[in-house]
Amino acid sequence: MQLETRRTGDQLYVRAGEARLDAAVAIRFKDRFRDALDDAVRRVVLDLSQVEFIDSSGLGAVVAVLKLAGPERSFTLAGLNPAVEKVFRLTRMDTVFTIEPAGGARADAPDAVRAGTG
Amino acid sequence: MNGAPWNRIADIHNLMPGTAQATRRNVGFVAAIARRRTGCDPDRVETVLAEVLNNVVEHACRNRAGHVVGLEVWLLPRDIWVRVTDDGLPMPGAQLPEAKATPPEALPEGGFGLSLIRRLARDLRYRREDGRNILTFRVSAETAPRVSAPRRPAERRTAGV
Repeated sequence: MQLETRRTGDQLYVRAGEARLDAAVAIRFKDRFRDALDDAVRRVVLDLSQVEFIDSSGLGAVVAVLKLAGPERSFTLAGLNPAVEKVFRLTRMDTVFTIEPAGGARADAPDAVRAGTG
Repeated sequence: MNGAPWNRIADIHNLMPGTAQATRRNVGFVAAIARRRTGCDPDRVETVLAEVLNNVVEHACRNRAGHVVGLEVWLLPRDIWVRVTDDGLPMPGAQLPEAKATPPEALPEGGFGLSLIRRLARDLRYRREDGRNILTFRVSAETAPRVSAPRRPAERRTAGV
């Protein structure tokens, strides 16, 4: 499970560096996200632009990390590919996330972020 | 499948271990062929097949090693038929459960799989026979074919995973 993180002030930028966010990696994704979070983080951006496929376990893990972040932090999803966006829409989970519109590179998306493997 | 249709593009017959890793490989393999060779929405095929196999791995095989899952796929120009068989536990009451309807605001972390299957698959059928679960379904092209489907004799493919 690749999870790339960068801290900028109180913002935690996390990029899931996996083409498939599925049952094979969902638990590790959640665990690694938990490790990256700390009390000083106020805003979380989860970049899913590398993810081409998400299944119900992957979706459940994204909901779990939203809950880990908690209501006191802002939480934004970015870079949803069409197939991923479709799963959020079909399950109506698009209604509970702040989702950045597709297209346009993020100004804060680092070219080289700290890469973690595991 | 009884009376397999004459105009199939390809058949896939594979045996896989009942694991998440094997699910990942096989789902990707089938979706790639669907993308290249049929008019069916490959995202839809990928989602339904992944959720069906996830359920088999999690509930029938209980994430324990040693189970063998049969995956058979018949690709037609505008339809994909799938049969998944396994030697795991039967479905409760020997029938397909209804999808749970947890409101999104409750932030459910599960229960999405069956509702995705029921929304995206057609002719979904389950039976228990000779100690095996047998699930069949179809995924169809919704609109005009994405590609001009090639007409060539059916060929047999094996995932080799």
